[in-house]
Parts: sequence; structure tokens; C-alpha cells
Amino acid sequence: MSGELVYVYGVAAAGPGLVETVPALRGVGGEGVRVVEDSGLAAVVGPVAAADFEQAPLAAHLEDLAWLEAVARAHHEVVDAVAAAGPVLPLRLATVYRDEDAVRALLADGRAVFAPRLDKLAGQVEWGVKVHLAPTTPTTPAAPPAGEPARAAGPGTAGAGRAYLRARGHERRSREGAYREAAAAVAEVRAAAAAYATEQVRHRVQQGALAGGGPENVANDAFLVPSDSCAAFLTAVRRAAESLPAVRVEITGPWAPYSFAALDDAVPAPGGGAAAGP
Amino acid sequence: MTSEGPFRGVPPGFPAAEPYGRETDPSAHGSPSGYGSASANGSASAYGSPSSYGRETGPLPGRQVALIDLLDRLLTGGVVITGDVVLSIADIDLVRVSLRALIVSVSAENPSPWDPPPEGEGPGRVR
Repeated sequence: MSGELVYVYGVAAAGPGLVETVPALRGVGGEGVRVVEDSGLAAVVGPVAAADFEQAPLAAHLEDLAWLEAVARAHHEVVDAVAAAGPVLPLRLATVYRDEDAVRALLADGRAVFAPRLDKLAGQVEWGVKVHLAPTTPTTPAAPPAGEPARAAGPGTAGAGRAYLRARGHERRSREGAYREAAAAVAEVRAAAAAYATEQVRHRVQQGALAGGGPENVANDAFLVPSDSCAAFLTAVRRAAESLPAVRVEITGPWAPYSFAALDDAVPAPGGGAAAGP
Repeated sequence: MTSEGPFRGVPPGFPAAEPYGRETDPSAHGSPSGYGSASANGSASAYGSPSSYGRETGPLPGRQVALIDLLDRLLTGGVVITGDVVLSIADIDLVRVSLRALIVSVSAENPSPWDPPPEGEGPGRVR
């Protein structure tokens, strides 16, 4: 139908589990989800209106956070459900094709890269590990050292100026110290996590209005962890977090392997798989 | 989606059994109940506030994935396919002030989130 495009959520191995899963799903725009198969692979797809997903209207829609959120959540619901049926390579948001034949061509042409990547992702899940600065009490101006007479400080006096500079210096050193401690803490948390991960990715730190205005995010990492290592992974990260008062650690997941779907050569994390941990 | 699986009803922080991912077991295909938390994580995951250590998955129904965590993954993760027959987000210039302002602190030295990562400590695959 000319008014529709084919939205592709992800690529998986063709199989009965996937076929059974998709009929119950509703995707972007509330539309149904189906499977397009070729070359032993299955693309999970659904129809979307061309009026929304052609380049120009899509660019306009992406300016609208409410629209973006609705699409992102619908996309995630589908990928999440499909991941229950087997390994899936999630595609980036808003990947659309003209028609099903083009999707089949994608699968046929891409089999040589999709299939090994799916094998690599099988049996693993993604966890997010975010590190935030621990909330601190507001710094108060430094009191004069013992023995130094208190100065009558009024606006514009030298005493007020020096007191102000002392307080700012104190604040700056506290902040710098907090960041140094946080950097060391991040390294420890990463080491604990990486010991159980086969791959790791560093996302951009979270900031701006969407980050929610809480304590500053200093690390926003994703780890690919074999299923059998997940319990050990969570324990290790939590244990590291408990020993690091300078930071707060937030774990998200399990996720479908969004952060590890890229088709370039995989880079192993130091753990290289299920580590013989303590 | 129903929220069955090892993460439901488990005290915070510990999966009772393996999360989804046992795809290598051929006998498990076609039996979604064997994939535990996969259906649970969409709604039951506790993407909590930074005020708690490691409070990741939780049994509370209806808790939503944080949008920023989702966008981190959907806008920068996932396979990117380019080509004549495909339209994808990679083709679209997303360097628009209004969207950027919501996702990053707007500043002169902050590149677009969708530019290639800088060398060194920037986002990207860890080597």
C-alpha cells in the first residue's frame, strides 16, 4: 500500500518461537507486528504511515518529545517481547523500508553479518550501570581558623572579600576532591562489572532536562553478560557500590542487546566471559 | 505483556533464575515461559532514582523504563542500516537545538550526541 512503510524493529533467527510471539504484540502506532523471513533470518516488522515516517515528517516529529517517547516505548515493547523468544539484533529507532521485498533483500544481503552477530549475542543480556555523584550537603562558608580574630565583615570590606574567596576556594577544592573520588569509584565499578561481561560500551553521560535533575551522572555504561553470570555480575557491582561512598550506582536491565547490536568487530571486555569470580 | 519470571516477587536486587537468554537450548524455543524475566523487564524493572544502590529490577508492576535510558539505547544503539531503500534515523540531521536541549546540556563544546564519539574517554566501544 503506497501510504505505508515497513518499520523494522529487529532481526532474529527464523523460528517458531518468534512466529508465536508476534501476533500478540502491538507496535508503533498501535499496529500489529509480523515476521518477514528470508535466508533463515526473520525481520520483525510492522506497518507505519508514510506521512509520518518519510524523511521530512520524521525529522519534524523527532522535535516532539511526546511523539518520540511514544514511538520509542512502542519500539521497546516489541523488541523486549521478541527478545524473550530468542536472540535479536535490535535495529536503531525508526528504520523503515519501502516494502517487504526490500526487507527480504536486507536479510539475504546481510545474512553473512547478521547470523554471526546473533550467535554472539545468544545467551547474553545487557545491563546498564550508571554511576552518579553521591548527594552532598550544601557547602557552607569556611569558618575562620581558630585563633584568628573574627573580622567585622560588611559589604565591600576587605574582610568580606577574603571570606568570600576562602569559601569559594573551599568549595572548589571540595568539588575537585569529589570528582577525583568519583573517577576512582567509576574505575572500580567498571572493573567489577567488566569481570563478568563479554563486551562493554560507554554511553554519553546523562545530562539535560531529561536526566531528571538528580545527582550528576559520571558514568553511563552498558555491559553484555552471559545469562549464567548475571547473578554474579549483579552481586559484584552491588558489592563494589557499597564500598564507595562517593558515588551512587544504579543498575538498569536486563535489556535486549541494544548497545551491542553494531556490526563492526566485537571488542572483548577484560572478563572475556564467565569469570571464575570469588 | 504479563510479568512472569524470576524477577517478580524476588527481593530487590537478586534474580532467582537466569534472565532471558537461554536461546541456545533448542528445546526452549516456542515456550516463552522459559524466558523468565524477558517479559518482566519491560514493565517490572525498577529503573529507580539514583538514591539507591543497584535497585535494578523490582517486582512493582507498571514501572516504566526511564525515557532517557531508552533513548540512550534506541538513538545510539541498534544496527544502523543505510542505503537507497532504507530510511533510518542515521540519515536525518538531528542537530536541532530543541531535541538536543532535552538530552544534553546545551553548550558550545558539546558535540551532537549522534556525532562519532571523540577519542579517549568519550562514549563508544571500550577497547
